[in-house]
Amino acid sequence: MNGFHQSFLATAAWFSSCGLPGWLGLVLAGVVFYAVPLFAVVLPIAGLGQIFERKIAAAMQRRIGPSTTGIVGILRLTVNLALPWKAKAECNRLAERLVAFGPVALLDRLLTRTGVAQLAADGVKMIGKEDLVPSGVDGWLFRAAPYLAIAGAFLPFVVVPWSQHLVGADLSIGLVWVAAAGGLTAVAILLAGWGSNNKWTMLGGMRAVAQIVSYEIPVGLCMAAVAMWCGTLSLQQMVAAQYHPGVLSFLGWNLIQSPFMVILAGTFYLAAIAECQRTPFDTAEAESELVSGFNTEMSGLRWGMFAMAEYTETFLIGALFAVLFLGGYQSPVGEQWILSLPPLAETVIHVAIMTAKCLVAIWVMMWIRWTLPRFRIDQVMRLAWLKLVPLALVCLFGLALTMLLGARIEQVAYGRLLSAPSAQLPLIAWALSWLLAGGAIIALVVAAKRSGPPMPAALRRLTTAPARKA
Amino acid sequence: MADPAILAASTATAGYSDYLAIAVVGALAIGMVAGILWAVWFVTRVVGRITTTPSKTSTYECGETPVGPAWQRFNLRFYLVAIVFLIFDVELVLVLPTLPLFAPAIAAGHGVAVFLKIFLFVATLLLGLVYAAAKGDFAWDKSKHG
Repeated sequence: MNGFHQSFLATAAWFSSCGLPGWLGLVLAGVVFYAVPLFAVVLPIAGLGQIFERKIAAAMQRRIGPSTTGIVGILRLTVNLALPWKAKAECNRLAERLVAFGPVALLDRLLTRTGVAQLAADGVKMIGKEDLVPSGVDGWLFRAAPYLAIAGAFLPFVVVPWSQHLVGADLSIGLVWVAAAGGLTAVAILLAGWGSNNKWTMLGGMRAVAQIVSYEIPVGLCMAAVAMWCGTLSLQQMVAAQYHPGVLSFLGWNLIQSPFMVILAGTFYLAAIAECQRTPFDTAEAESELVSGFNTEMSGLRWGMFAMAEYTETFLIGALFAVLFLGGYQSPVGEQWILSLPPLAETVIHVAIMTAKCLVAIWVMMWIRWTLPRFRIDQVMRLAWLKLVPLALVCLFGLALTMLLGARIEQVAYGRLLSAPSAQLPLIAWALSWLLAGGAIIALVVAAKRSGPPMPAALRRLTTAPARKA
Repeated sequence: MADPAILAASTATAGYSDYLAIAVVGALAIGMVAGILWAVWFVTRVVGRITTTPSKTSTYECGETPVGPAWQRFNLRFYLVAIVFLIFDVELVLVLPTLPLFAPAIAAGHGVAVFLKIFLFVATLLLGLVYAAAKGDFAWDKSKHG
């Protein structure tokens, strides 16, 4: 029970005092307190994600990206709609005069250069595009798919904590809910692929579901390992378990607690990218083989819903990565001080920090996308089952052993257990685990050097001295 | 100090409102899609008066006339992937609620026993994965395997 919940209940009570039935008051308060903030954060970022992507892609290929569409078109449309009694030409002239006006011109320049105006133009274009339902489709499945895709992208966000007070629903089974609600996406893709009655969508849908389902396992195992480490399935408590008092509050983050955590973080990130079908794992959409995969028959905004779901999912992966490994909404330094602020200030700062962490995760995802070529479907499947699943399992049991050993060391050092073993290991165990990891890496490198050729070229260059010229 | 009765009532409502938040967000997400698709229908069909023609609504097959329906037989390897997934998903479902109790188990002094139990369970299922891999079920083209 916190201040946020109390104001939620107070608002619900206020709605009820206006003569509304109790449940309707609760629903309205829910809209105001949970849904509106959630959509206000997630929707713009999901929309801007597409613009980020185009800009980042352009930067990585030494292009400029969207940089010509300004706001004059939107102004023309707005003026025309606002003054319907005036002639079209007159309205257009008015809009052009408006866009030449100092501050508006500055804004126009900013929105043009950053490509944000392009987003609005694309949106308007998409609304005007014909929504075609091909004659051969299974109507119900084809029409239900976009709804499920969006629901599957947004529902997991309900349990993601944005600050101490701002969390849609702090379920005690938060991680299970994320996996369950996220699973709707696979159903949506299967419905779209099968329902379209098209050979391309059929192949794309089958591949997509096989891939999503395969990568669900390493993702789930990584989440399970972190849940074991933190001793909870609730995302809010998971963040709380990573709290570290003192100035250097990043010392409490899961990522640096154990070498196994670093491997788990890498595994989770890779598997999560593959689960939301981004390049280099977008075998299901491979445009060189399958036209556009499962959404070949989707047109206009029906396709747009899938695109939006995809960008929302990248955001969700960023949020989950932050919660599982990077201390959630907590600041890397001086978390103690932020917690002592009044609730509103604390919420604002924490939402900003969380969003920043998500954006970094999204940026790395885009970096990977525009750097690596697409893998083949057989490589993707083998990576999931033969590499990532065993790796995640090894780390899971490695973490469990670390916890056991940590408790044992504590018992030996102090004669008893100081408290229930928690996310923070005793210092000796912590140092020992990193030393062991370093030793293991050195041993691997030495072994690889001895055995010779199968070592990757990059590693070989790192470990061998450059050959002298004779 | 809060009145215990009010506190109890509010805790009860809080548990209820958790699922309310899910219902609200779900309804809004569905409503958003419905609203957007309705707007498209309004703009294109009512305002724009676009009409569909049989050639527009024909199934896309690279511009050719579609040859038969797409609802045909597909490769059996998808079925095997689904089976292996099902096994591991059930494993996850059983392991997920157990693992957070590992730390309390260590504190209570039977960490090793709990560790061995979980390990045995997962290792048993892992045998299935090893078997499937040995059978070549993860090689996309099984005919080339062994």
